[in-house]
Amino acid sequence: MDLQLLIKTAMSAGELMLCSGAETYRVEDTMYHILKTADNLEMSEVLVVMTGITASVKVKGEKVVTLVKRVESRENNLSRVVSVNDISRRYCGGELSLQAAYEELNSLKKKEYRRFSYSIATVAVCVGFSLFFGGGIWEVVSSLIVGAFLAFCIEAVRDLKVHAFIEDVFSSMGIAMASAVMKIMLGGRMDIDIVIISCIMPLVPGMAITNAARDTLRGDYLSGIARMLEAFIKAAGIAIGIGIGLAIMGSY
Amino acid sequence: MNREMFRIMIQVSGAFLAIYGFAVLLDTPKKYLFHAGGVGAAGGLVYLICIQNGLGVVFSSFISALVVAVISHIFARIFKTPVTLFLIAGFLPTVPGAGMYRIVHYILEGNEKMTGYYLIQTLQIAGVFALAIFIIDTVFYSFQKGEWKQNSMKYIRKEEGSNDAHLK
Repeated sequence: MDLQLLIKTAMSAGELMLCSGAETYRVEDTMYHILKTADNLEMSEVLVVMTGITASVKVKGEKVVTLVKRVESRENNLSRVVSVNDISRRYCGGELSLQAAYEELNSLKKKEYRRFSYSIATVAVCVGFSLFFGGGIWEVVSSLIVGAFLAFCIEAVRDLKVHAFIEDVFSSMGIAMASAVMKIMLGGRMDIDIVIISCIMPLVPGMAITNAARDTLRGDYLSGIARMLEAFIKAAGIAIGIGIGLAIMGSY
Repeated sequence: MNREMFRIMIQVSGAFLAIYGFAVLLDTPKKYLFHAGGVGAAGGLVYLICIQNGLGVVFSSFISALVVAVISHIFARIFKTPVTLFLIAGFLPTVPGAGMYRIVHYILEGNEKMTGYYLIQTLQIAGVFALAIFIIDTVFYSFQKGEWKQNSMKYIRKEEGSNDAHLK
């Protein structure tokens, strides 16, 4: 068995999972199981933190092979986690050769949906939550309009290529200002709280909170605390943006 | 009573729509979108029923998170997918987005007492999420046997397994 190819396969599986938002223990587990398929394995070790991966493997009669990978960008992409999971399961179950697994990992598609679908989904989240939070017809209409504006803001800010924190500040500023405009137009018929709360939902760090808890449970304290910080920064960005937006519109 | 039921139905269908959309934002594979929405709607329904029966916001979030975690783990084992697929989307209806907004609202108003109240409530809700995940993860982790084994935890190479059996 080609040891270089094995460790490269394990590394690309790990990197794809880590930068798509999988939990740390899942990344370690997947890489460990791929490395374990080596013939005459003497030892294999994987260390994953949120910003990088180290993997080592040694077989009898050969030198240790180690690979380090720095992971810089992270995004939420669950379908990639599912695909990598599936490939590693099939490889470890003997259905896939090492070469085929490596090629399949490197040809995974980037996004599951077209760009426009994400905007539609943003609007759906805003409208759905305004219904869930007990909004009437005017709240639903307002969150439809504010949600559409938010989708536009997210797309516009994404092209600026700024830090995620600034993206959140600008997007939530857009929400607050658009909601205030709707409030001025509709007056007492609309509850501005429900509209703002529903419309910040697409930005809320649900993934970071969930993964922080799961990583901490498995003893990956370093990743757990990093994700907690990520969630906190995201929440702070949203709060600051809402504050600035409301202050500009003079709602207070 | 019927009117109440109707209102809850509307709210739950709103939760379904919202979670379906959020699942798209997280790039959930197409075939699991409907399930993720269902988990979210179930979480929302449990939350609303708890609130209706006079339980506090924090305790209602806890019960809802427990139900969501159980359903997510069962789905993950049925469809052999990572459990986060359903877990993240399912938690969203009870995520303290409202608390975050109220904190900003009262900071701007200069009302320190209410700011502190909502800050603590938001942290408590985040805490009970973690607690619910801890409990249900641990329960399912200790019952990992046979068919209910979690997808990524233990791989068995089929050929090797059968060879070993012959040797023994």
